[in-house]
Amino acid sequence: MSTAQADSGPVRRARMLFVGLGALLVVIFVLSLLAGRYPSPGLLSIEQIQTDQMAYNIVFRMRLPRALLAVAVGMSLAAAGTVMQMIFGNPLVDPGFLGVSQGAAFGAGLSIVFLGNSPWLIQGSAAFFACLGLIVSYLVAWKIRYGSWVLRLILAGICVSAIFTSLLGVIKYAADPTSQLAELTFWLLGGLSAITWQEVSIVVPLVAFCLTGLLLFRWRLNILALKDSTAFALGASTSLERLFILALAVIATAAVTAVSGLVAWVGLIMPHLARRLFGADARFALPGSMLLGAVTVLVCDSLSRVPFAAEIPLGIVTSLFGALFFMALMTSGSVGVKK
Amino acid sequence: MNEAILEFNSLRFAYQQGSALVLEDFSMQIGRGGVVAVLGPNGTGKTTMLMLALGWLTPAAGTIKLLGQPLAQYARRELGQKISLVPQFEPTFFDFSLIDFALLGRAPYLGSFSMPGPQDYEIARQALAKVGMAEKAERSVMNISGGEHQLVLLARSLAQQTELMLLDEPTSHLDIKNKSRLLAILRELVAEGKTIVFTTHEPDVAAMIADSVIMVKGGRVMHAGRVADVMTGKNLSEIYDTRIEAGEYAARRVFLWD
Repeated sequence: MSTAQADSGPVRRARMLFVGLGALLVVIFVLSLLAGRYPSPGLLSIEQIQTDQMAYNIVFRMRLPRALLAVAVGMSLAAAGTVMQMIFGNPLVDPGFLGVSQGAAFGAGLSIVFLGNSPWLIQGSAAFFACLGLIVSYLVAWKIRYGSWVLRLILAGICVSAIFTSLLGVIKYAADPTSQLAELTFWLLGGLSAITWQEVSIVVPLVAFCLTGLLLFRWRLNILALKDSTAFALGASTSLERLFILALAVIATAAVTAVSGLVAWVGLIMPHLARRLFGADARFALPGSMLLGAVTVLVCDSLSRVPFAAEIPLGIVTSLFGALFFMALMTSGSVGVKK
Repeated sequence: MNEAILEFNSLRFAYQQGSALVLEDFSMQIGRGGVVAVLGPNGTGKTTMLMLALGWLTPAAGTIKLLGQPLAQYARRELGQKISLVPQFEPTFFDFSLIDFALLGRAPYLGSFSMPGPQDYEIARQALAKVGMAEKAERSVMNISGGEHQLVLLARSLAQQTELMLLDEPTSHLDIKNKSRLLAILRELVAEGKTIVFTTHEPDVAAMIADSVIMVKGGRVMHAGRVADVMTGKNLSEIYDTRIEAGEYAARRVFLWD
């Protein structure tokens, strides 16, 4: 790194923040492994884990895969949110945009009500329709004959999301209210209670691949955040590069959404918070957003399962805190957005 | 004329097939070095011409050559190393610091997975210094005035280190002080060997800085040549459909209109 770069205050500050956030993530990760309601509400000791087989199984077979997936969910949604907000030049965009969230919800609903209620089928169907949401949005945007590429994608995303929402409404209407409708509602509220090593073994490598690609590409993301013609003048192959980066973001989002259900607000708020802490440069804002996302989802997941005997769905916790936090962020006048 | 850096030969362009032509039989040749003003009323195809020169738009007919080679033969990054654009206005959605913003000009020299290095930082700092914004390098691009914003756009273009710089109505948002500052910077750049092509609808600005002028109306080149020869009251009146008189005051060309 250059002397000029290394000496600059913002870079030094960003480095310190990364170290601090990284340490916080490790601490919260360990605490989330130890915190729970066995044998009584509170923290397990190392000795208990070594001596009590049940405690050992709970930590390593239930809480560890769940915590790993919480990190994957937080990082993926926050990274995808950062990427999409930058590419679309719109700070109110979230990763479910472009029909991805509604596609996943429709896919899950279709599986729960019509195709069979196995976890694998629900996850596969949700992932398939999430990706289909993006593909259809992209193809529709291609066919729209006016407006910039970004505007066309936004319009296409709104239409595709609305179609999936309507179809999900039909499925809900047709669902058995005593069993299927409840199951679908729980899925839509989002949660990590059913996570095992099986899900982790598929989702985490896929997410790691996508996030590594996004991290490697992160400075280039600054160029793609500019106006189309400006990015082009700076040597970018705008359509191709945007497609590549969007595909990575959407695959990561689809992979985690398929197993976690809809976890709202993380992808919308973390990019704002990261930009406030690290500045707009995606070299720092993207990894910063990922770390913040991981910490937030881990904390929210622990809050969803530890304080009460009955687990609260994760999506409810993230929505509650997310909305409150977003209000505070906006009223503090530091969102850093000007049109 | 010097060796041509940019040539348009019989260009025809419409934004959509079947719609009205924006440029028709548009030909011009720009020599290496110096300042060329593209002058014409609003909506006459000046910005379209710049977008064609960049390769962002493709003509329906005709050819564009950069340094004697057809534009289509250049790779994207290679083109970004030879020709840069200072847009008229650029909306900014995120609060980049000025140094990070100027650094974006290094994109054509960096691979997709590369990060800017020490040399890129140095070039970006020099570019900010050139436009007089070095001391504000850490300030947010969202907290500067319109005039400063224009200068930062120029700094990003300077960091691109291209021989040919295209500026789209660079003085349109500037007050007199900032206009004068910008023109002084452009003169320095020309002295360093750059070729500058800028669009404007202000004859005074064109006469102050340009060596030659291309007058455009209705998507065609009406007059082209040295400022002293071409920027006459008669030609300007024809271009703007308004009676314009050219005169001199304190050794400068001035234009009066009804």
